Amino acid sequence: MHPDPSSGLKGALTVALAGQPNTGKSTVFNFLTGSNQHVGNWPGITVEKKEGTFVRDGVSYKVVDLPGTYSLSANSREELIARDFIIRKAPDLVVVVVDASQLTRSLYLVAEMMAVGVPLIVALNMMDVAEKKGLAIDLYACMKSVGVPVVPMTASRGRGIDSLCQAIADSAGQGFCSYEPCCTPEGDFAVLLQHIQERIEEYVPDGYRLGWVARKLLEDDSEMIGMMRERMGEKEWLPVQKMLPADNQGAFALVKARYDWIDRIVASSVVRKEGSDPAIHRGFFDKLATNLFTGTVLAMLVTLAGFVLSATVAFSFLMLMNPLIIGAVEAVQGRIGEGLPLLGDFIAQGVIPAVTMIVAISVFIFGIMLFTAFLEDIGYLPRMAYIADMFMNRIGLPGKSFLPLFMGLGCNIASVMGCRVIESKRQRFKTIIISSHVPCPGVMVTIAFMIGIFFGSLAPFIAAAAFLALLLQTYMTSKLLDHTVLRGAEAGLIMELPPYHIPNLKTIWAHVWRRFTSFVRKAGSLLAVIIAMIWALSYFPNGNMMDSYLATAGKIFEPLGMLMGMDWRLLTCLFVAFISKEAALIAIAVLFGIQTGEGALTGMMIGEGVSEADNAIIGSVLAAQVSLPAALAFIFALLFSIPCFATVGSVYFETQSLKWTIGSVLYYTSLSLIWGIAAYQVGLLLFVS
Amino acid sequence: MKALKVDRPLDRVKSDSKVVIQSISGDKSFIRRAAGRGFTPAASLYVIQNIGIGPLLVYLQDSMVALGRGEAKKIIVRKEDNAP
Repeated sequence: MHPDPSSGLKGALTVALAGQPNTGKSTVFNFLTGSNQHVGNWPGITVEKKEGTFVRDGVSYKVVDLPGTYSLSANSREELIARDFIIRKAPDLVVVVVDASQLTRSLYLVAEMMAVGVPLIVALNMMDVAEKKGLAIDLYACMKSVGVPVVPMTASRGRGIDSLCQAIADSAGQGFCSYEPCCTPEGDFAVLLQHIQERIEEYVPDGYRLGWVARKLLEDDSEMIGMMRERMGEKEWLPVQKMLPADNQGAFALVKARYDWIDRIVASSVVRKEGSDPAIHRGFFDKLATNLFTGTVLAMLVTLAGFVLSATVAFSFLMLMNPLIIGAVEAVQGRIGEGLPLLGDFIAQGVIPAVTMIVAISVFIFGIMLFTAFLEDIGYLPRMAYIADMFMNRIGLPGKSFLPLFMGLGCNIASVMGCRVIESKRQRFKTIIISSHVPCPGVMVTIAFMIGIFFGSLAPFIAAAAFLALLLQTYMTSKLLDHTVLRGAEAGLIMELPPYHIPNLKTIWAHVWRRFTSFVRKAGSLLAVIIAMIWALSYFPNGNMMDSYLATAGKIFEPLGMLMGMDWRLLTCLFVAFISKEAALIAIAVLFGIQTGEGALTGMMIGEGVSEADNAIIGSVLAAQVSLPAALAFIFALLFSIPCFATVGSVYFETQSLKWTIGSVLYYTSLSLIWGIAAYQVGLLLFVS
Repeated sequence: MKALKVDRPLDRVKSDSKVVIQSISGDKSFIRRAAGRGFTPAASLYVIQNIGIGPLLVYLQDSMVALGRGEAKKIIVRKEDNAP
């Protein structure tokens, strides 16, 4: 049924799959194309582009999954991608997936498509849910009033896929669109639309339908206005410009015309059982999930559960692997180390620990991805975001930032990648920058250790001060971004809370597995390079960290460190934290002479780590060599230091912007310095008198 | 003058009430997005939940939507009972 995707792709008919979010479009796509899928990104952005093929009656069809969009305006990058594809690439057929249980809402995209003028099929999905809700849909009447083929489906159970294939085969390639343009606005606007059409007719480029362009102009669509102004020249354009109504009246009239059209379809083909009004008859769980008190508790519990589950699996994995790794390290050093000591050291102290770390981090990230995708698929995620918005809004972040920010407590790579659930680019970038420096376990362990050693009974106050400073800084970063690089209109919250769905595990798995493997390909190699770099920097030139390049860098920048009261050793620990937060504590132990510096830093990250007895020794040694103000400075400088390199890498992958990535590195470096100096000064006042 | 009394911004409408949108203000991108989701003059909507802080939960055009409080301020509505 699914032959090799590479065969017969050329000249195959192209079918674009469109639909609003939460209509089960991905499930339809997976059933249609089976394993013949290829996933990439739309040019320049992190929106997934999925393509696949299927064969019907010896003809091969290429299916392109468009991003889920509510309409075809120029509101978001997804909408621009979808409409650009439909107009510029001119697919042979567009299948619009519609949620039968929410007809009014999801037919809106069909109403928009009808004006574009491509051959259409409506896939009426989730028929089972509609039935359960007490909706009876007269398919014949529906098809007659829409004017294009309508295929009933329950894609989650594989029902209707065959009919859809047949309908595609029947209509594709006819190359002619027989339906009438719909949704003409009422009264004066209809006349106006006619006038606009007459004016622009000879300037409309090939592939664009006159009626659609005129409607978009009436809607005040900036992209279409730009295009027509350029094609017509100022002189010809000006009269058209003057015709366009002010105050969004044109847009309102068109939207109303579309909903009127939808209302007529629904009125002619849907019978709603009494008492099935979903606005008033909400389920018990939904009320629980959206209540301020119970909803908050639920959101906390759910987030915590996902976090603990993923972290536990990752941690147990590390524990299970530990004896194996130590064995492997010894074996390598024994066998290769004798003949080629450098290679032996590199494999034992660079490669093996690197792979272990990468795998453990990946396991955690996989868990978080699976968990997030599951919450999104069942429809709980937007409810959580609704509740979280009440709190997150105070610091200028959207409700959807809650989950990724929280996951940052486990690993910042997970939090940065998790920001994809946030639709608005502006909000997403902001959350990426902020979530990249949520303190991860590496930072927290090191800070807790330093606070414990230096501040004894004052420890709770220092910890509280650090926490408050973190909140304050998050708020300031958010406001700073708002007033500088992210200046402009606030996106504003208009978020759909879709009905709950039984999770489709196959779709979730396919989605997560794809994202995960893409992550492993990109980040895995990046992490490997980074760990090799730490190894080299902390090993060469003499195979001892005490006089490695890293330590030399610390000595060179010592004057800068002295502003924070830190000597080269503490400063080197900060540098180490740039590379890996987990390594900072070990670097302290080595540089203050408690552990032997023999070998490289990465090698010390596995194995027994820092033991209880060592802890006590480190404590007394450190206390004798580092002053209280310097320790305080170190704690705050570490708290605000730049995210580790791997996180910086994922910031780049997610923003696709070198400017933002470098900007965030510079920003956090200066923050670290500022807070370090400030903490040192406060420390001098408090502890030295 | 009577009409003025019943027109109010959406954020001041209590839970469980049906209203009709009278007008929407704000910048173009907000209006575009709102209109695409069914927020247009003369559209009726049902306020499911408005607890005085945070976003509102409303129901319109077959879907439940969380609407930011700031956004709700820009939408002027009228109680359906008083609507013409």
